[in-house]
Amino acid sequence: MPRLACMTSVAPETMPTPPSNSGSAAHCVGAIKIYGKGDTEVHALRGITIGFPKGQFTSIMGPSGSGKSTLMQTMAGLDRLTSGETYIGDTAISSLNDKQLTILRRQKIGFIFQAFNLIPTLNTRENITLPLDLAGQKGDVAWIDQVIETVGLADRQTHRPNELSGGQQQRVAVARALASRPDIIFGDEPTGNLDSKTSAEILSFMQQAVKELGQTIVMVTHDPRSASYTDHALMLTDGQITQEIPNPTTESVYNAIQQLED
Amino acid sequence: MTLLKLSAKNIKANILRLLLTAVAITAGVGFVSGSFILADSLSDTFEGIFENAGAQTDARVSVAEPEFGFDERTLSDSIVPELEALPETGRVTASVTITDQFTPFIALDENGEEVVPAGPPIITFSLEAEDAERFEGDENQPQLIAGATPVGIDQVAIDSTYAEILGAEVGDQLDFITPDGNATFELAGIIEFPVTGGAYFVMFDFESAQTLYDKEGLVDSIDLAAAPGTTPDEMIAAVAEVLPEEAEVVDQTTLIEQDLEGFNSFISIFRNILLAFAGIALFVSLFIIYNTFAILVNQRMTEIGMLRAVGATSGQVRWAIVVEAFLIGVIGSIAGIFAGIGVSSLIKSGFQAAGGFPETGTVLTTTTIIVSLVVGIGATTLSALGPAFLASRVSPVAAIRNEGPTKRGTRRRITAGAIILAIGLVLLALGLFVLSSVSGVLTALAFGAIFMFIGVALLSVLFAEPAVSIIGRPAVLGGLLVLLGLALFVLTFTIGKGAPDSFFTAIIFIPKMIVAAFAVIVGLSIIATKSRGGNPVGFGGTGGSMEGRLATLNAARSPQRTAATATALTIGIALISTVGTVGESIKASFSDSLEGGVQADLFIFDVETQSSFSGDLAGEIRAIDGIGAVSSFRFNEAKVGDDVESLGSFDSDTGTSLINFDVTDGESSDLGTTGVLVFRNEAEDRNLSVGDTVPVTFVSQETVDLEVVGIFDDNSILNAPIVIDNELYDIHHESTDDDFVGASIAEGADAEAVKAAAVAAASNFSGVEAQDNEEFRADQEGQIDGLITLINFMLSFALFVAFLGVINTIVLSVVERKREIGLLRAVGSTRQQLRSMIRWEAVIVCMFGAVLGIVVGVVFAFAAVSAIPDDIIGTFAFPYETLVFGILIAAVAGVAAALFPAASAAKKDVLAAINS
Ligand SMILES: Nc1ncnc2c1ncn2[C@@H]1O[C@H](COP(=O)(O)OP(=O)(O)O)[C@@H](O)[C@H]1O
Ligand SMILES: [Mg+2]
Repeated sequence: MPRLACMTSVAPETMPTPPSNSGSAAHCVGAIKIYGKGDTEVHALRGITIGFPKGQFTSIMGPSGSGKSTLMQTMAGLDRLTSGETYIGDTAISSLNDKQLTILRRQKIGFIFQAFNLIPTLNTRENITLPLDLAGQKGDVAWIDQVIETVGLADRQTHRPNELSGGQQQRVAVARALASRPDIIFGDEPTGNLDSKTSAEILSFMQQAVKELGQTIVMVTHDPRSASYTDHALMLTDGQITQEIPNPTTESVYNAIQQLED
Repeated sequence: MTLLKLSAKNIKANILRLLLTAVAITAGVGFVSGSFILADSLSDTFEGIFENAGAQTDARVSVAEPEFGFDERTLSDSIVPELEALPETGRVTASVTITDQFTPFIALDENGEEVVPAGPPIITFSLEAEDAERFEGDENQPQLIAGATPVGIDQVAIDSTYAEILGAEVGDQLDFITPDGNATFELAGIIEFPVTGGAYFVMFDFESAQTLYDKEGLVDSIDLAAAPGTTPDEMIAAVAEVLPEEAEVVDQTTLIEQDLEGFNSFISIFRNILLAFAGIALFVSLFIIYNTFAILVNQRMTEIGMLRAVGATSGQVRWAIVVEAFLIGVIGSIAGIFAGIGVSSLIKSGFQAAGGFPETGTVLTTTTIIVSLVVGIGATTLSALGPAFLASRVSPVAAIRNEGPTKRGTRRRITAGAIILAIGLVLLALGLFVLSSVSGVLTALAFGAIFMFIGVALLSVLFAEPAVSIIGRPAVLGGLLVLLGLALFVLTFTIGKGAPDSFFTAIIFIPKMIVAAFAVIVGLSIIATKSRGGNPVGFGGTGGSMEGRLATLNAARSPQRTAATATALTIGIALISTVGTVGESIKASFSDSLEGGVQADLFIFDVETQSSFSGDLAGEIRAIDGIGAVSSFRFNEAKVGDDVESLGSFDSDTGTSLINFDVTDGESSDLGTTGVLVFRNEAEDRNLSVGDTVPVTFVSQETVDLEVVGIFDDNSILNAPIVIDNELYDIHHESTDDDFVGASIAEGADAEAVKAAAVAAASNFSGVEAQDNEEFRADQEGQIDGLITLINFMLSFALFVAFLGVINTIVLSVVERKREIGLLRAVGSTRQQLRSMIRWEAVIVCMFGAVLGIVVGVVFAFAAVSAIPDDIIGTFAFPYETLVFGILIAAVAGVAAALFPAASAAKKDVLAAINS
């Protein structure tokens, strides 16, 4: 497969000065991630430079093993790059120590994982306020109530995760990500485990959070239908951004994937 | 084959947790093997001495032991020429001996300090030139290696080790303490002994020894060799003819056997006591092994289900787990045998610190190895059986759905707990209300205690959740820690008399202060971070802080596991609380009876060994200016009818004014030579009342009909059910030594001066001291404290094992919650918060175990104290200090147990955790 020349993918040796970030909630420059050493070396990210604009819903698409999760995790400060730099707002995260990174995560970043999002011993409300509680903050109670109301969990606040359905559990995860009003929310296939109806519910709720509340969300998905809820889809292939689809629809994304597979 | 492979794979995959389990086994087995090693080493050291003693001798003549009781029987040395005159005897060697650790004949160094290495006894005996000649060249016998055997009253020989320590050479003038004060002897010879058993030897010639030991005209033993052509049996028959009634003759084999018999029974009692404690430690390890496997099986549900789904039979699943346990048992037990060497020297130093224990070698016998392996491997395998059966009953589907811990296990636990508790209660009731013999009561209580503790520990699953939720509340935990920490400070400086005064209190004092300070600081920090918004620093509070809440929830989430983890601790602490409470009650009862029953101002007795001392001292005390009433007290045995009973004897005209034993019927004054006082229980058992006569047989075998003059109710001081006057005692006993002299100070006399005079008089008698009321009480209480400390020292092994169990469970649950921990880190929990969460979980579980243990232990002790007759323990008292210390130690243990798992959990990469 010929390597596509793409405006957002730059070889590390020709790395330009960082683009102005005034518009992006997070961005990375020349991101390279190599797992393992020698024979078992895996180049998961091959030099990615990209920004996620504030107030936008971005999806990262691509075949399995293309580096979607790796990109998201390194962007979110869960893992470190082999080289290159990632920024949350103006903060370069490679220079942060573990404690600073942790505090950055709980103040500026929200997470929604595919599964195991919730602490089984905590009830709905406690799970939602967990990052705030860990910071020893009370948070904006009115806002939290509103979020809980909006995701439709008002009558489930004292339930434990095992008393909730899968969809409800993911809604709790979304609410948790929103509760502290982070600069950016990352989701790794947040609806990957859900049926299409529940999935649609959650996605439109995320869309709503971006449109109405100005939240920034980046979501990894391999489902064209999910991508259609976003403002912006990035195609990742073999550790590089190969295509960018503005205002994606199920069709346009589907076609792009077909194109890749050919 | 596949089976073994699976077990081996599982072990490899869980190597860390299983090593921790193996350590628990190692600790338990280590105590067992340590007990054997110590007992064997002790026995090995001393057996040599006894075997030596009998060699080269066909028979020995000595004073016959009385059938019961003790008396100073003597054998006149006039028998020696008689024996020599017999044609059947060849060599006749007479000797006198003193074997007492505290008897003088201790060499002094140039500063006049006694040279007695701690522990070993100094044995003093007579040695004649002919002995040395006879022994020459026999490697099993003492050898003269320098100089000559001592001759005359101013020559001495000592053994080579003692000579080395003293740096003495033949011809040196050596200073010794002797019963008649200090004396100087010329070192005539140095003798090397093949086996000393750690003892040191000081020797004089026979006649000098008779003089020096105050045994003029007497002989202790006579070694005989048969004349050529005569068999030992023929000689013994001839000797028996001429022997007076107070002497007996025994042949060589019997001689050695007799010596060994007494010693071996001591060793076996000693070993059994150690093994009892080892059993407790091992028992606690069993809980841990069971718990570990139960958790492992639970964690492996999915894997087991998969195996079952692809065709593994339930038997195979079961066996895989049993084999795994067996392998761990092997590793743990082998390590335990070696750990036993360390444990034995640890126990040895404990005993040495507590009051003298001989130096011994280290003897590891095949029996020790076999017993350790069987016990260790057997115990491990047995405790894994339950979890193994549980695993084999898992249906493939249920396992794949991973439904988590089954309720069935919990239900079974409750049933088992209820049954065991019921058995414990029945035993307790038997001990309290039905049984009457002391040994029966104690046995019932001991087993009742163990059953009760286990039962309650098992049932604790019922209330683990609410209890842990309460303990985990910041106000409760913080407040508890601060209160208990302060209490420990206050108690140490009030009841605990503050600064340390003995080795044991010293080694406990500093940790106690540290623990108290720790509790206060941590407690305050918890309370300080109570309000939300406070950013927890330092110890990381369990305040409104999230990690505190999570810790509590984690502890409460699996009541079964929390209960199982706490169980080991509960049992250990329950035992310590019981011992502490009973001990404290004994002390309080003793104090009470001293207050109520003792009017004496001065107490004169052998503080070190409680051995009797010359009656001359009582005479000297009587002569002190300003002394009031004086009475000698003596203790022996006598037969009442056919039963051997303790016999007390005192000066009845003055005695009751010094010790009031509450004569309620009749009177005690002037028993004369025909009267006896009888303890009420004894009188009731024998249907005796004032005026009746009772036949009493003394050690001398003389039986006298005595008239019951009075019946007394308080036996707590004398501890003898029949009491006579010294006048009568003197008639039927050779020895006029006293065990105890009580005296009062006359009204108006200078108490200090009188006491000083008594102290001075007592100082001339080896080991004897004069104490006033306060000193006496402190001394007696100190001895009870010493005993309690020693028991606690032994029980601390069980606590140590319990502590390993806590680490084990925490490690296991951290592994189990890997994902959860990753999630917490992802959403903003710092490493420090994570560590603090795990730490508090451990602390909460430990506190739960400790509080439960203390409640059960104290309740049981209360029952025991009420069951024991009032004349032994009449007052119930709390060992506040021990109890408070116990809870706080548990809290500290929790922090310590969490150190490693918390650190390793916090080090985990966020992603590795999430992706696992
Ligand atoms: N921890 C890891 N160690 C080694 N290789 C890894 C690790 N995580 C991901 N990889 C490899 O990196 C590549 C990208 O993985 P990932 O980012 O998970 O892909 P995606 O999420 O698009 O499926 C894959 O080839 C994967 O095997
Ligand atoms: Mg992925």
